Amino acid sequence: MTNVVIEALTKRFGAAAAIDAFSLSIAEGEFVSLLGPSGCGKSTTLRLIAGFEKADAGQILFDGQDVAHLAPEKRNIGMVFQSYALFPHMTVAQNLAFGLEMRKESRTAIGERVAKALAMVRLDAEADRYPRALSGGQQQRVALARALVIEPRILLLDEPLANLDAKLRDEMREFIVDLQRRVGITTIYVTHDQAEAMTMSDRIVVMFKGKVAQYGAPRDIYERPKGLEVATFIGQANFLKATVTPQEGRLMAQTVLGARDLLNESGHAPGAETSVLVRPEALTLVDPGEPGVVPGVIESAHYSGNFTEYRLRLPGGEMVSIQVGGPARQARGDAVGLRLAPEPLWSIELAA
Amino acid sequence: MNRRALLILPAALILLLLVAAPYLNIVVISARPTSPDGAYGGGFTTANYVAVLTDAYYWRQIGTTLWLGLLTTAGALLLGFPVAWNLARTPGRSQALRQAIVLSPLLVGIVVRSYGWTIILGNNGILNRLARATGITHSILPLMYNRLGIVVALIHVFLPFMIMPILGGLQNMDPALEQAGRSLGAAPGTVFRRIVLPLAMPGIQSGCVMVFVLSISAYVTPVLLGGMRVKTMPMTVVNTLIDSFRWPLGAAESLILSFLGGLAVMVFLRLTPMRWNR
Amino acid sequence: MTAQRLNSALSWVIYAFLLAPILVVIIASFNAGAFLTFPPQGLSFRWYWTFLHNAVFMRAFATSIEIATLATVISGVVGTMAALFAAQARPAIANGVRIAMLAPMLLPEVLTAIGLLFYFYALGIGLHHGVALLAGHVLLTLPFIYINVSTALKGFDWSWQLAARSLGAGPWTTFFRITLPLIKSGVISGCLFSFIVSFDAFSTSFLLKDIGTATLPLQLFDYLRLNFTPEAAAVSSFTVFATLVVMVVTERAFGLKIARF
Repeated sequence: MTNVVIEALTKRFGAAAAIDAFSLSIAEGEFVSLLGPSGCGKSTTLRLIAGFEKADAGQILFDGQDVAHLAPEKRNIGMVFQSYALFPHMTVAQNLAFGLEMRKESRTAIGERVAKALAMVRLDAEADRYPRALSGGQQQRVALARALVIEPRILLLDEPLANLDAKLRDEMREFIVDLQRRVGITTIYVTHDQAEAMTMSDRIVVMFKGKVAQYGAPRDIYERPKGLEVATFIGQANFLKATVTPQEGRLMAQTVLGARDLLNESGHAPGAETSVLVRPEALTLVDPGEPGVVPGVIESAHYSGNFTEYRLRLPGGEMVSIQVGGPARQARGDAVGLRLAPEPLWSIELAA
Repeated sequence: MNRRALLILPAALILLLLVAAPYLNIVVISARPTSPDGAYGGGFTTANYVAVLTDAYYWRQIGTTLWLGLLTTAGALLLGFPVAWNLARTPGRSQALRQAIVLSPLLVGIVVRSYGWTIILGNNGILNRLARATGITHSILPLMYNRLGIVVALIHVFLPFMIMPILGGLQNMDPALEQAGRSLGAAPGTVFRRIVLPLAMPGIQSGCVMVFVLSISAYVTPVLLGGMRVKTMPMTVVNTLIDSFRWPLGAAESLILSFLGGLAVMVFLRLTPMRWNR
Repeated sequence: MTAQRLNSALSWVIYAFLLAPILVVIIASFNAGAFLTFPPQGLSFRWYWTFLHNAVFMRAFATSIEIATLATVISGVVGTMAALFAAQARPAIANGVRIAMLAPMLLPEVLTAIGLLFYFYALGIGLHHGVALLAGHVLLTLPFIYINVSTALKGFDWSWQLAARSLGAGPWTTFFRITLPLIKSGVISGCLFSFIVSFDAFSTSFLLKDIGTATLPLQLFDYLRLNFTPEAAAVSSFTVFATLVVMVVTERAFGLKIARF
């Protein structure tokens, strides 16, 4: 089990910095996702950790040991590639044995460990087949087993699910998380899919333009995003204008949907104008006649099977989106009532 | 027959009438007796084959031809692989230039290229003059009119046929494979030996087959560079056909050479099996 | 890293090896002296002048152009049709077509030429009127057209054709307005290759030429067996330059794409 500390890592391609003073610390056995749009530098970061790229500045420490000068083959990492990168001229068993041969393990030890690893990914029966004869999901599992059989210090996964179809992707998601928990290995996972990052990770690094935008648990990232970019990148987001008002010694956010506690109180003055994040699930559609609800008008309704998404116009002219389970019951132009959940609100401008 | 099939009709006719039929005809003629008043007589005989197969003179020549083909193939592989490797690793624009250099011999006639080599390798050629001028030697270095000259020129002539298929194979290779090898603990040399080389094998195989087949049936280059002092089978075949006008014998000679060449290719393919590749 | 650099240096040596004989011929062609000497005795165009006034070479040159043009036109049409067929056929059939179309390139040239020699005699045509010679050159050039057009067709979206038809274009209009423009670069580079291959061909021409006719490579070969004046170098260089000019012009006019094989 290994912890990973990255300090002020910088990588330039020409004049542009692909990774800009990137710092991160990962605890032993933790599952951390690097999440961001394509070109944000998440894959480059992974390649720097693996040793396929040389950093221009900064440090990468495994258990306090600087690995910057180690060649990739000396770093003892396990890596799963987006294309799986299974050696096409070797059978499944030979693919798994490769890393162990490089470690000069005895023939019998290799045989045992390969068999064990194959059993772990439920591929015992495919040992002597060539990769091209396997399905995408099977190839994926071989790649995982090949990376893990060498018992590396850390496991690096580069968008491993990107080439699978939706159903298989869900299955593999669970499989990988389950396997990681069982082995207990420190894992860094690169993805552009926020749902993957949310469900799999202990912590998520949201990256934009080579910089860490936010590092935290999935719930933190979702509920307390640092800035507009993170808030809109993860999940659906509504933003409402709010006025900061003091009340009983605390600060509240006064919005068109009512006043709520302000989550991030510090660093602002009473009476200030701000913008708060309202996730669609914090909103409930109710009868306009009910007491205490805010009236709204349906602007559009999009049916998506298990839910319908409505766009509503609020009294001040602000627009919000809301998701309601089941088929559309309201149509464009209908007057409805809207209720905001009592939870505290997160000010986006203050978070920046 | 649907209308789309009409597209293939002309090509099919050409291949059938101008390739399949003539090749069959060679086989037939090789079994005809020689005739004094025509190209060949009626009836069938094995005499032509017997004449070739029982004559040590032919066997020596077949040996020379296959040996030169083998040397050419080995030389082309030795020179071609580094170039293909270099090309595969060269990015965009400068790769295009290097690739143009590799293909350039194909755009210049074989007579011209062989002629260029005679200027370089001849007894009064550039290399010999250079050697004498610098005092390396005072006699004439035998660079031409022997097997060495033929092989050097043949390698040059057929090198593109070795480089292109190997390059194709290397370019089709997922770059992540090398990284996967490194991540599993293999040093660059090991990655090359255990991963790159085996995966380049299909390209190497087809390159070798092409160069071998082309070089054992080469005619111009051995004639110009060998100056008739080294005899290869294609020269003999042409002599038999054009000068002696003995078609059945020439047909048998060329078929035996092709058969033995094919046999060598089969042995080579058998020795370099790739179970993973299909 | 050092291994990489070493390999790069080695590669440049091999590039030099590839270019050497061609450069040597070109340098020799400007020799002012009467014999092939290195370094040349002064620069002059005298051997080009000699060549251009040599009726035998000029006749051979005209013959080569004529045959290369005819062969390219025939192969161009036939090869393009075959490539279009294969691109739309089922994989197994397409693969068979591919092997058959490339066969003339993979079979020994000398053997194919011998086959044609016997065959045309058996048909009673012999080598008269250059029919056998043309047949040989069509076989030489056909694979090059096929490879280049097939490569151009790799990214071809057949729904473009369907779109044209749905917009009211007939099959012929669709071919000339949609399909052909889209595969133009492949057809042109195929024809270019084909022309050059035919122009430079030796063994086929050597075995199949009619008595009294000669292509430029044949004439050059004959000349080289007896003479060593720089005139041969001038003839050779002339063909190299002509090839270069044709390629550059084609590249400028159409954007040449060289196919891999």
